[in-house]
Amino acid sequence: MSRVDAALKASGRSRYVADFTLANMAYAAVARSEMAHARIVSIDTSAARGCPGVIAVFTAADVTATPYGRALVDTPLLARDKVRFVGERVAAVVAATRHEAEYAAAMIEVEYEPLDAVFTPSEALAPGAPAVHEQPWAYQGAAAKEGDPINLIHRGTHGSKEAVDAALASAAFVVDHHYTTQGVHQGYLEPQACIAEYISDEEVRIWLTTKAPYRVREMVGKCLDIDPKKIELEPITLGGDFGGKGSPQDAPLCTELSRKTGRPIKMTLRYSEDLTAANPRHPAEIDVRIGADEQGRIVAASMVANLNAGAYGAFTPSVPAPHGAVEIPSYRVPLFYSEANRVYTNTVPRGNMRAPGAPQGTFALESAMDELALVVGIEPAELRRRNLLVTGEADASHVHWIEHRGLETLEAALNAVVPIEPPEGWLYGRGISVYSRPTTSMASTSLRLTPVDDGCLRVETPLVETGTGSHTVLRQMLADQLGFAPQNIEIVGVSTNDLPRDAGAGASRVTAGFAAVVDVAAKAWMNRSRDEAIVVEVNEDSGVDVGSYTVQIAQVAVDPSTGQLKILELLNAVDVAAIINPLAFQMQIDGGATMGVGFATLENLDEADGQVWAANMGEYKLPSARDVPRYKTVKVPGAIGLGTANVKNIGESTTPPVAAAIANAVFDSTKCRIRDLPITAEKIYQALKGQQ
Amino acid sequence: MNVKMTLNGEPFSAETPSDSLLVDVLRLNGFTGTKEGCGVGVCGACTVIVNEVPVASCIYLAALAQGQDVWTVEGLTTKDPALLDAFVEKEGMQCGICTPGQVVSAYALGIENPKASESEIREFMAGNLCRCTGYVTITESVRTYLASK
Repeated sequence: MSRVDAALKASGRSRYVADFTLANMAYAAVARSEMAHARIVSIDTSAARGCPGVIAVFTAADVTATPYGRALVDTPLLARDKVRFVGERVAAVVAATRHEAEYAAAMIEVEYEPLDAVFTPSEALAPGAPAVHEQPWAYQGAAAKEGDPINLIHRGTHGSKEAVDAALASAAFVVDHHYTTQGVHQGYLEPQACIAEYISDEEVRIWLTTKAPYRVREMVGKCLDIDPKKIELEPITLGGDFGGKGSPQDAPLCTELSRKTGRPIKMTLRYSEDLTAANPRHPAEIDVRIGADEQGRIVAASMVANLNAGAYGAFTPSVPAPHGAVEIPSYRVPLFYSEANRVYTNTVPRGNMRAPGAPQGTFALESAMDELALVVGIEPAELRRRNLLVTGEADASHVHWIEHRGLETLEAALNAVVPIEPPEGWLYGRGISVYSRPTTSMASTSLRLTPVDDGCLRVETPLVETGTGSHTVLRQMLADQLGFAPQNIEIVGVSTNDLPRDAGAGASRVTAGFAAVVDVAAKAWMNRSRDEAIVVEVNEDSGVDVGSYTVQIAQVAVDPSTGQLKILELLNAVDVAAIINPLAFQMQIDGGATMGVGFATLENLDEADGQVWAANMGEYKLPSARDVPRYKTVKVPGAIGLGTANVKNIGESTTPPVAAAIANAVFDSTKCRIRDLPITAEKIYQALKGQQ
Repeated sequence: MNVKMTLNGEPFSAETPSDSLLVDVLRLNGFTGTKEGCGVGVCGACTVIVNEVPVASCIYLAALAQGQDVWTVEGLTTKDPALLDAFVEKEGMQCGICTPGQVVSAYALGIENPKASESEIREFMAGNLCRCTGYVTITESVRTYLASK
């Protein structure tokens, strides 16, 4: 049985947001800031108003002054008084067609008074730095307090720095290095799009490229002072997410424009707008210090990350536990200090992207582990063997996972790797990297099951299928538990008005959440009165951290005359429990690794002076079928999963370790240590030249 | 201007500004199977066939299609069911936004080099990006389609 949506998608019949047209619909386009930081002196909209097809033009003065956001509420619909990044929405045009709206938006004249700007966390945290926001502590949900460094959004620390400093001072071996990672974009091929139809405060409909419709209706409602229950997010097909489609995007603005004009409003971003003004991954500056004893056993470690959150902090990941960029979940670390600073700068606001923080942090940590192995004088694999946690031990942040299978996964990877011959004259190297990630179920979703004629079942779900195959997995679980043939179960995505809840796809919890709700549904189904529809919901946190290890081994070849890098093979050894749909599972492994390869070697928003220079896909390089390496997968079965379905995460497991696996392999082949992503031929060439 | 072409084997005409792009003319006339991704001719989501050659309809003036033989994913998967079957059977997709373009390019490869090896498939399909799959199942789908010919 194939995917539920395969034939629809392959024949072009699936409907994405950009494919919908409503009666009487008008189109919006925005004028965006060309300045990184400037006071708005005046906005002249007269030329735009005279353009063909224009219905109305809006500036901040014409729309609600209430900002929006998830935890931190700091994002305006349109820039008010000043602009904070190149690409910020300054004015909006509503016109009869998309082209007319875009043309008129280009005719808006803004007079600016430039202000000093900050582009990196270091600049933003320097004493006397210009303020991106004058009173960042005054926003609803702000963690910053008056008197903090002016551009600090949040500082999260765990452990004692003094204790770690003391232990490192007396450790037999210490490494202390600085790693940096670039800005990258989620790279979904469907640009963000929205249609909003405001009929009255009692009736609002939104079609949005989102994976979190229930969260979006809360945020739109709060911003526009509309009861969220009156806002209906319609079911859609989503053209990729990878974390980038969890914020409300342009929905608050489009809803406001619909309210003001009395027309349904559609706004589809051009991809260049998505690259420069959506919510890409945080660039990071990470300092890692690790101390070990004579045998290479870690005695203490410190990870300090400065994360560039951009001009608004509303959708930058905020978690109470150590930030993903400074976690050490895999190793025995008796003394651990972590610090993550999320910092405002005059650059594009950042958001979530596949395993938020982990690709940056794992690059730094797993590179540093290899650097430690070098000074201790043992093999990188042996260093990891001596330090990987075993079941029963707490991790560096004092979390007890249900089990640790890092050692088994490491040995499985090492046993499976077969050396590949490099091209003649090229240098050969092999690199290893470890990542582990917990699944906590946090299942919060609902289902309606309706018996239909001929022994078929109609199942409605509020969970948006982001592309992972989640609806297919749901059908399979229901078929197994209820005894239906899969082809007799129809899975239907429904609107937020039709079912009570869903937490949104993300955090590697979708399959676990479905498993929990299917358990409840199966019981309710057995006990139902005849032929009645049933609605079930779950809202629970399992409270158990079920860990999942990935060990990667990259084999690379480097051309010593040019620095050109060729990834010969990327091996993924993954620690698995039950697998519901083997092909969908494999695609998460391969697709996740491919995204890691892009981060490690190709992708770069190329930010400088507040500009995203890779502002189109000709410059922003996603890996193509020709660029990806050969993948090899080793599954290490027998793990403990969550719930009766015994499942655990996979979607965010294989992206984070890739960059370090490749950096370590490049070191193995060339003795050049690249501590700044992406790893390009130019950097390798320069490093090789520096050795001579 | 009035642009006239043969679309999916049928006569088609549309009144459109002379600077319209083919992707917009198709989509505004109900052929939304053709997607717009990057808008600069790089990602391949908007691929259609003009006179048996794949083109990026997001950088192709509709006026250039005047009098030409144009095929979109809707028409190709109807005309050649093996194309659809291959992508369904091998699950050459996840989110599906790039899939119509992949399907159209697979058809074009079937015309140009039906005996393509895996590396030739990957080379030919490099103009159709996919962010989800890692390309293994897409390559398998294309191979399966070519084998059916």
